[in-house]
Amino acid sequence: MTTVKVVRDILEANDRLAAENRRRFDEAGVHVVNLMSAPGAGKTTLLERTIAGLGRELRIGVVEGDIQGSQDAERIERAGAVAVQINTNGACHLDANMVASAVAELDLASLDLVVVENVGNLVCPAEFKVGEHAKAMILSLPEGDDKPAKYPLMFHESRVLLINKMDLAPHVSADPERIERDARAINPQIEVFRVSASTGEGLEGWYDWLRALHRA
Amino acid sequence: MHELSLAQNVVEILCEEATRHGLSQVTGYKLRVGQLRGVVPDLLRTCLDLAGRGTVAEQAEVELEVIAGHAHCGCGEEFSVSELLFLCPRCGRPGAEITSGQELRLVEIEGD
Repeated sequence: MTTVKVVRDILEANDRLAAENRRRFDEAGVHVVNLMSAPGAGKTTLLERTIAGLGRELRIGVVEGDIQGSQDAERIERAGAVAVQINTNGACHLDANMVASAVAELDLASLDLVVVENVGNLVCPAEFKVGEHAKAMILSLPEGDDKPAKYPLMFHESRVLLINKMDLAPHVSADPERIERDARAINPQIEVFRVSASTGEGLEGWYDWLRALHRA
Repeated sequence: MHELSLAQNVVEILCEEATRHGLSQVTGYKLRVGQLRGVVPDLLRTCLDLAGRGTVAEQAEVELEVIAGHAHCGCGEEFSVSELLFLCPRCGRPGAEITSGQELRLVEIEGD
């Protein structure tokens, strides 16, 4: 019997690959956002809107993560940006290895901004770095104002929170003030934008944040 | 279900360490898991069992040590936390630095 003392972080292999991805992004001068939310919160709609709003200023590429299917990558291409689809075949999040193979298909030098649209899931994606410069998340108002309290990790890890579907505010009981207050209690630095990706309302702050990330 | 991904990572590390230290089988190992990482211990055990099949860690017993959450506030207060949404019990402000409870670490391996 041999006992070996080790101290190894369980996610070190992923963290190492994420650091390699990050080096490739930095060398190409491209900024990368890891966009996370529950399914149906509006990630792809936000990206379609963002491509329409910022596509003339910033060359945008998208890595689409889905368990299966390529509908989202097709929507992004129709919106006018390059897209690469990853199918995780069951896995509930993207990891650095999956993103490395997807970005190999993108000409990074011809892009300013890459958004990695993670698998729809409010829990697991927050645990796995993919080499991003920043994590951003969407919570749509109809999901309810108790979500920061119930799923705090993603709010803790994100630099930006977009409260989406604000156009539905008259029809739902969720209180955006409570979402914002609880999100800031978890993460005092988080930037919050109240938006409607489908009407375009409130997106200027998000665009400014992306512009600032690109200049950084 | 990120427990399955974590378990696959644990088994990969176990296989690497077994090779490095010349172990033909891993009989046991110890994990430290922070209370604030959203890991369900029973689910992680099940996933470790699945991920270990057909590897040197197939028969290994896992010991899971759950590390309690603690935070240190700028006002000087030290306090325990059981979730990520919390305010300092003394000054009422958010943003206290988490000093423990976020570990995900393999710390010991036994084998032959």
